[in-house]
Amino acid sequence: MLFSTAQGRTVIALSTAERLGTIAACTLAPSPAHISSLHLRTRGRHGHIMLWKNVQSFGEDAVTIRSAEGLKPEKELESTEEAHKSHDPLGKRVLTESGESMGIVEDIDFDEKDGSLRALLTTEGKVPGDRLMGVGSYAVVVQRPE
Amino acid sequence: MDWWIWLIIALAVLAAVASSVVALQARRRSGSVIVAGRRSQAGRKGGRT
Amino acid sequence: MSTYLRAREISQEPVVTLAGEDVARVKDVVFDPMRGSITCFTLSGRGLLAGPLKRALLWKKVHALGPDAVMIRDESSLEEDDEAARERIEAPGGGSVIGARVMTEEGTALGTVNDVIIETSGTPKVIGYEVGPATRTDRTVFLPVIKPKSVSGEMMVVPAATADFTAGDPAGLPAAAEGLRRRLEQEA
Repeated sequence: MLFSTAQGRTVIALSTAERLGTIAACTLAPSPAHISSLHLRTRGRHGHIMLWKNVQSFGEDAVTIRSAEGLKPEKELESTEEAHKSHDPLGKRVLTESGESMGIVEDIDFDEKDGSLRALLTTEGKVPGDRLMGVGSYAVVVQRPE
Repeated sequence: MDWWIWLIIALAVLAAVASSVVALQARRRSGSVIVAGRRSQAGRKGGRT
Repeated sequence: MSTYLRAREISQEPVVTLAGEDVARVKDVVFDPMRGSITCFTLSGRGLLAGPLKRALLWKKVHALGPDAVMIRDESSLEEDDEAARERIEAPGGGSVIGARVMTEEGTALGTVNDVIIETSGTPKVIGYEVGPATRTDRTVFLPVIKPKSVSGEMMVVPAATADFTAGDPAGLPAAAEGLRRRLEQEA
C-alpha cells in the first residue's frame, strides 16, 4: 500500500470506540526496513505518535488500535528515539552510501499487515525497501544498486 | 525627529550587522584544496619501515 | 564506471552519516601530491551562522566520497580535534594549491592551477590538474600529473614532457597520463 493513500485515514481505539485522529506522517527504521511509528493529527495543537506495534489492523476505512494508551505526545519524544520525526522519509533527499544523490522521496510502498517497507518511490525511480540503511534529518541513505 | 525614524535606523543597523556576520562566517567556512606538507610524508615513510 | 570530481566541488559538500544525519561540511580537501591520495578534510559547521570546526576527517575514516556527499559511518568517525590536519597543512610546502604556478623543469610556465581532478572509481586518486591560461596558450587545459618533481603551495614543478600531454576535459586525462608515462619511461 502507498503511504499517500493511508494519509488522512482515521485511527480508532477499540477499547473506548473513540476516534483518536488521522494519519499524517510516518517514520522508518532500517534492518529490516519497516515503519517504526505513525504520526497522528489529533485535536489540539500538537500531534501524537503511535508505535507500529500498537496497530491492531490497517483497515480500508480506518486503522484500529487497542487503546489510546499507546499514544504519546509528539513533543515528549527525544531526538534519539526511533519514532522522532527526523526519521520521517517523505520529501527527503536520497543518498546512496557512496555519496550520490538519487532524488527525493515522494511516497513509500509498505505492507499494511506488518509495516515492512516494500519500496521508496523517489523522483528518480523506485528503490527496494531492503536497501534502506538509515533515515536521518538530512537524508535517506540507501545501499548502492548492484 | 519622530520616534519611528529611530526605529527604522535601529532596524537597518541590525540588518547590516546580521548580514555582515553571515557573510563573514560564509567566508570562514569556505575552503580550498591543499597539498600536504613535506614533513608529514617523511614521517609516514619513516613510520612504515 | 569512472567519475571525475573537482576537488573544489568537494569543498562545501555535506558530511553525512549512514544514518542520514549531516554532521559537518567539508572545508578544505588535503591531498598528498606525490602519492595522489586524499589525506584528510578539514570541516566547517552547518548553517548560516556556523564557522570552521576544530575537527578533522581523516581519509581512513571516510566510508565513501561521492559527488553529492562525503559519507561516514557515524559521528565518531570525526577526529576530536583538528591537530592531525593542521600538522599536514602547516608542514613546509603545505598550502593551497589553487593559484599555484605550474612550471616545467626547463622553466616554462604552463599556467596556474584552477582545480584538482579526482577520479573516484575505487580509491579516489588525484589524476590531474585543471590549469588556467598561461601567457602563451590562452585556454584552460587539463594536465596529467604523474610524479611531479616537487610541489608546494606556491609552485608545482613537472617534467618538461607534461606540456605535450594535455587534455581538453577530465575524461581525457587517463589517456594523457598514459602517453606521458610512456614518454617518461623512454626518456629514463
